[in-house]
Amino acid sequence: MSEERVQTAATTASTPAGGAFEPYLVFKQMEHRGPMESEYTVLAPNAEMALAMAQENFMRRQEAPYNLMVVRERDIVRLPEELRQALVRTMPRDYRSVPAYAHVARRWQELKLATGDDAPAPRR
Amino acid sequence: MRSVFDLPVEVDREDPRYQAFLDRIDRGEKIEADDWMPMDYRMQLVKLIAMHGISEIMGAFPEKEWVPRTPTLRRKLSLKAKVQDEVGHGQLLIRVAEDLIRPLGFTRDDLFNDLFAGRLKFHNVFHMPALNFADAALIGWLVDGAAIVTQRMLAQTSYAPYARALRRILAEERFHAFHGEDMAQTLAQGTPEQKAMLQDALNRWWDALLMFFGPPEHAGIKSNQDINIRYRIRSKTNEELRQEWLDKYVPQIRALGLQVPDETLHYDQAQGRWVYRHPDYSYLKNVIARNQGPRSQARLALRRAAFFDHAWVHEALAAQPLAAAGD
Repeated sequence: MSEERVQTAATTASTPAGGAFEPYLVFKQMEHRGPMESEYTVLAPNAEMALAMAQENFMRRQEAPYNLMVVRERDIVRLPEELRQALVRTMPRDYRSVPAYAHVARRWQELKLATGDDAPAPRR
Repeated sequence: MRSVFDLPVEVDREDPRYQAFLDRIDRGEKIEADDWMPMDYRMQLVKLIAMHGISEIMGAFPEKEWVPRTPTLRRKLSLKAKVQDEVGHGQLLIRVAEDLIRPLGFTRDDLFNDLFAGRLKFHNVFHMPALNFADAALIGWLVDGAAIVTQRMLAQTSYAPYARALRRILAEERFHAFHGEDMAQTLAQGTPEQKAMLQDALNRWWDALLMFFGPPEHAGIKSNQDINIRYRIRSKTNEELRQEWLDKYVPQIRALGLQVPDETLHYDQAQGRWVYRHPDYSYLKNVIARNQGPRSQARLALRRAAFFDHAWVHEALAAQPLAAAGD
């Protein structure tokens, strides 16, 4: 590839699409309740082509996803590095974690043993 | 003022798209926001999800009353976290409802206007007063318990955006359930006064808890169960959910040495179900639906004040230009 074409490709993301190819992030969702997970990027002239390319990629894989999505990379706003640091937790928050309430289940066992409760097992 | 709930719900059952939609439902396929759907399916979802979203927000009000007055700092942190979660759940669900009404030309502001005008309802339990900390404990224990029973069933819904929101909600409700049970156990095993407070809360809330699930099929009260089951929006009846809740919580109530305030309640082995005295379900239509419950108007006033008094924040944010990508 010529120097000129490499330079054009490198600056495509910061220029408006006017026939140029731009990076699109491809997201896949494996089942209807699952998250959209970022998989990779494709270079495409528009969203429709990006989606077609994403579909083409997945058709060759073993697992067919439930859904696919593409987002133009220049429309994504990311946290800058200094703000990513602010996401780090400094205070423990076990008061909102399930393992911190393990004693609750133990107490139910002790209480039910004490009362000899024989109510029916929960139905499905 | 226009309302999405005043729109005619017309369904052309001869439309080939309608039969194709029913076939998708019967095959167990999931419906996304931009899929074609009949108007009655869309409106059932709007009623259900908007009511659920608003109920999460209105449900934060009785609990937030006790955040300044918890017995320990740890309880304050936990109760505050729970209230934050409930409001977050409301946000998730209102967004799902908004995507359903946007194609009809309505927005979330219209849903809030419907709430203030009494066209959009919220769950009966959030019209009740929370008189003391035992009420806060009971809400976390038995009201959240009732919500979890219902939401676990709804997580299998045919409408995929609702299912995704419920997955996130149910993950957070696990901590709420354990927190509620922890408070109930602590009060029941505390001083005689603490146990008596919890028993009194149970006596006052019992009918509302049973009514939470809605009227049973035999009560002669119109409900949307049949159409919601046909469209696989839900898969169990009100009574089936109530029985599941009794299965789990009657043993817990008894294990804490408390009395269910219904001397007729017992498990009938032959029928395989709990037999009990039903509350007067007409209260839901005659009192709750008209926002004439003990705390209905006070809580609506809080929501109205938050909506109108803080509108300037929304306007200021909307006036701020978004940063361009790469700036």
